[in-house]
Order: sequence, then structure tokens, then C-alpha cells
Amino acid sequence: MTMLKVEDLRVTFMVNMGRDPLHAVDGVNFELGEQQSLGIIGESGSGKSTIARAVLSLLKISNGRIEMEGETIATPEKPGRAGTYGVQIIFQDPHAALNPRVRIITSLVEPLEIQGIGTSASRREAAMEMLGKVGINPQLAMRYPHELSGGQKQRINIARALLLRPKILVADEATAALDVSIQADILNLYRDLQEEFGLSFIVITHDLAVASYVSDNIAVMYLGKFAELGPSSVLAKNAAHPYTRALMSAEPEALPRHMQSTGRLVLKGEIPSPVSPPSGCRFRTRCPIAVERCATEAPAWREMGPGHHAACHFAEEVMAGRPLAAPAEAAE
Amino acid sequence: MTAPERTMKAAAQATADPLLSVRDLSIYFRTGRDRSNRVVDSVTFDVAAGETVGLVGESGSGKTVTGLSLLGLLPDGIAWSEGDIRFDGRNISGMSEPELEKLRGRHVSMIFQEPMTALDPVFTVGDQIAETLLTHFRMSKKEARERAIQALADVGIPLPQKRAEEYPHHLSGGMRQRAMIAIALACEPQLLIADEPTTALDVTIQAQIIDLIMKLVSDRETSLIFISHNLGVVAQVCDRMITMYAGQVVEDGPTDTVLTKPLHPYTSGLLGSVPRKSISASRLPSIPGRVPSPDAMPEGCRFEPRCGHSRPPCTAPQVLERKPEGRAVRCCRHEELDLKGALE
Repeated sequence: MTMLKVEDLRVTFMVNMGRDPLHAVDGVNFELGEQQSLGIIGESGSGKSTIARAVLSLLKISNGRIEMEGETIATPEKPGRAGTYGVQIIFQDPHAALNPRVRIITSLVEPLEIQGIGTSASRREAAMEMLGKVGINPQLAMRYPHELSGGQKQRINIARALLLRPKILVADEATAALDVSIQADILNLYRDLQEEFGLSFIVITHDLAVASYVSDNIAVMYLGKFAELGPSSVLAKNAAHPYTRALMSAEPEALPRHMQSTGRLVLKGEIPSPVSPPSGCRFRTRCPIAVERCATEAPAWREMGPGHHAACHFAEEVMAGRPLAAPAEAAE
Repeated sequence: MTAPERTMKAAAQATADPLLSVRDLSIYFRTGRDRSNRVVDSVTFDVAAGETVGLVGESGSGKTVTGLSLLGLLPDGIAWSEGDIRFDGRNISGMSEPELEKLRGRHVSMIFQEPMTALDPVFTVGDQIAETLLTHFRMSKKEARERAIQALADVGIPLPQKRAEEYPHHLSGGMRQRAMIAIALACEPQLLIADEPTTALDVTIQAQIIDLIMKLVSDRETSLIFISHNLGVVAQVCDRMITMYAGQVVEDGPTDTVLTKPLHPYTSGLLGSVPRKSISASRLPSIPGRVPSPDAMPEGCRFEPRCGHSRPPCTAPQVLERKPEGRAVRCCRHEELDLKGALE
């Protein structure tokens, strides 16, 4: 069953004193099924966090529609009401997300108070029970945030989000600030919670390995558009977009030198300004196989396989293993 | 690129002595009038000329303060160190501030995680490179400027002449880190200490900066201490890796050997907890518990409370035992354990 459906989503901000439009998200479509997880990866400035905020109705969308279980919840004319339709978020900095002046228990019950759910006693009981489910000793509920570690605080943020019984949990770089062994714990917790609560996940991350570990599907974002979307296993082995390939090859693996992939593809330059994106294909200025056609004609969003789409004129060739020339060193 | 002072480097390589030798380095932080915590405990390691060494470990393991102490940069009055740091035959630990100033930027340089806070926002990038050169060499301002522009070109900054006139806020994160590297390497130091230099960058930019650092240190035969929590980056950059845990060195050895067959359960645990893009079905092994705080260190093995291989002898303090093939490990059970490496 489709949980969330996002159609032709665009989010435009006005920048430079309101003179220039910045299309942070520029026409994105995706669906998220029940108990499924979608990873959204891309560089800073690609628009991935803006998608998260749009899905939560934390900002007004400029075009398109967001549906939840078949019901329209947000359009440009009728903005959605955050927190009312079963989507919750956890943020990158676990400390900044908790009020330093109040005890953990106070932060935990606050969303329930705001929604007017239960009595004071039942709210506390629910909070204590949820702490147990995320692996936190309920005795810690009487502590203040500064008395806890980063991993513990992130678990508490997850518990707080889950107290409202969301159907979708959005994790916006939620493990980026944690040490690897703690990150492993949190990623395992996602899996447990997914089963126990029937949750769907949207995992926003710059870390491809994290995305492929937790997600059924991965969307690769570049300058406000999806470059590719498909099953994690397909993208890991058989990506159709040169940008996906570049991201895969840029991620250093903790392997002995003779086992590291050879012919690493290091992209030239940096992501261009989203205020004036390149004509045609947005990735062409950094693409190792770009030709003239890429500057004039924006590549279509084409189906490459079951549930697998990509926007590249040469997607078939890239999938078939066309070598992507590795430029020596960036920006001469 | 001219090489103003290769002689010292050549001398260091000619002798069998390591370029840097750290012996029993302990670092203390003041926590009250008469109280202090020992955050780094008897750290011992060597760095040979031209060698690249990774210092890995989680937050609170003491990697960064170890790096800072090598330059005499511990915050005055709050932290102090004991032990012996010898660099190129000279004793750094006993140096006065003026002596240290002659060393920093000239013979030993450091780059940091966040280039924006390390660069001075009110001076142009070119001025900041020229400043380093004018401090350490007798040259005219004009000459220093030309050298600064060349240094920017060497780190792959496009239009170096124009960029030299710009202020740090004009540059992107990746370009700022390149500028930091240009400043650090302007005087061709023998040792570069890089503290998480790519952590704040996107993965594509990280790849560029890693390639740049590797190329520059290998061209100039600079020794490198690369501090990182990212085992993948260390696997790419470093010949040797040193694992730190709770202020101690727990393992030291050639990178490829350690990755294939770690001797310390903590190194093995770290390798296991890194998610891999090719594997998605299994559960990620994690390390239970957390790093002990410096005021509540276990008496015995510091990793024992979190270690799955703990036995009675582990509650005694552990020594760093030297092994063949340039390896060392702080674990009394390492010979009986068959630990998982990066490949399993």
C-alpha cells in the first residue's frame, strides 16, 4: 500500500532581497510504501533537506501535491498542517533538539500534551514505556540533556517522535554527528522499530553506505532534481547515472589498498549555484561523459528497470559499464 | 616549485632515527583547583620521514589533543603534558614559546576540520599565506606574494591571482580547505598534522581533498599524521594506523595488515560497525556501552567493560606489547583471539 505520494514537488525560495527565485526542489516525484524505507542522498545544497521539510509541512510548497494514504495533505493553495498526519522527524544534532533547561521526561511528554492525548499519568507511562523500546533505561528520564551522551540523546529524540505514533519517520542526517559504533546502534534500532511499529522511513544522508544499509530504495539528488531513483541493490551494483557512480566511487572503503576499487572517479569542481543551474542536464558541468547535447536538452526521466528510473541521455551505456574517464585532478 | 630547505629533510632520512618520536606522552586537563584528569596516557609512537600515519578512534579517545600537543598548542593554564616529544633530533616538549613559534608553520604544520574558523576572516587568503612565508624566511613582500599565488595554484585553486585577493568567506568549504593546505605547506614543513580535514566536506569534495593531500605529501616527501574517525579515509591515505581508545594507544601497525587482521578487539569492533554499501541484509555489529569518562577510567583494560572477549586477566592494567612486522597491541588475550577484520 502506498503510504506517501509526492507529485511534481517544487519548492522555490526568493533570494538576493527577493529578486531571484531559487528552485531548491524542482519537480520531484516519489512514492513510499508501508514499512518501506527511502534513502535520499546528495551533496550539500542538493535540496534533500528541503524535501524533508516539505513532507513534514514545515514549509509551504510552490507546486505539486503531497498525499498521505490517498488523502491530499498539502498543495500550494492549501498548505499542510505539520504534525497532524503521522509524519515525524529526527534531526542531525541530538543536543540542539532537546530543551537544555528541562528534564528528559518533560521533553518527551510535551508533544502528547500539545496534541491533548491522554492524562498526565498516562502520558508519563507512555513515555517511560517508549524509552524502554528505544533502549534507554527509564531512570534516565529524570536527567537533563547535558547528562547524557549523543547516542542516548538521539534515542530519546526517536522515542519522542514515536510517542505520537507516526506512520513515517524522517531522519535528516540523524547519525551524521555520532561515532561509528553508536551510529551502528541507531541504524539497527531503525530496523527494529520498523518491524515493531510498521514504520516507513525517509533517511536523508550524505553517506551512501548508511543509505544503502537502511533503505529499500535510494533517490540520488542533484541541484533540486532526482538524478536516479531505484532499489538500493541495483544502485550499488548497476547505477545508470554518472553522478551516482561518482558518489559510489568517492566513498572511501575501509579495505586494504590492494582491495580498494581502482580507477576512482573524482568529480571536477563543485556543485553550481542553484540560483542559475546549468542549462540542459544540471550535472553536465561536472560530468565526465557530457557532450553538446547535454547542454541543450534536459535528459528525460526514463525507466531503466523495475522501479528504477534515471535522468541521463547515456543511461543504458552507463548501466552497461561504459567507462567513465577519471579526470586527473580537479579544477586546473 | 623551489625547495628552500631540503637539507634538513635529507638529513633526517639519512639517519635511521625517526623524524618524530613520542615517548610516554600524557596530557592532563585541570578540572578544579587541585584536581585534573589525565586524558592521554603514556602515548608512544614514531613517525619516519615521508611516512603517513593515521590516528583513529572515536570522540574522546585523545587523538586531537595528542595532535595539538605535538605543536605545543595545548590551552595554556588548563592543560599540560608530560613525556618526551623529539622532532628531528630536537626536544619539543622542553621548548619555549619563541622556539615553538620558529617551528610551527615552518617545520611542523597543522590543518583543522573547519577551515572557516582556522582562517582569519579579516585578511585576504594571499596575505595569510604571505604572512607565514615572511615570518619564516627572509624575502621581500613581492616575492612572498608571488610564492603565495604559486602555493594557491599548487593546491588546485582556479584563478589563483584573483583568489589571493579574496577573503575566506568568498570561498566554498572545499576551496577554504585547499587554502588552509596552501598555508600549511607554504614553507614546505617536514611534518603535516591533519585533524579531520575532510569531515565537514561532501563526499565528492572529500575525494578531491584526499587526492590533493596524498599528492602533495608524496611529491614533497612530507610526513603526515592524519587524525580521523573515518576508517575508509585512513585506509586510503595512511601507510600505518594507530588506534586510540580512552587516551591510550591500543593498536599500532601497517594499515593493510591491521585492516585484514586486527589484534585488538576495539579495532575489530570499529571495523565491524562501519556500514558497507554492498551489504544490506545483516545486522550491523556494534560496540555496546560508551567510552569511559576520564575521571572514571577502569583500573584494568580500559576497553574491558565493552569487550566481548573479556576474561579475568583483563581487569589488570594492559601494556602495549611490541610485535613483529612493526605491530603493537595493548591486549593480553590477543594471541588466543581470532578477530574479524574488514573483509568479513
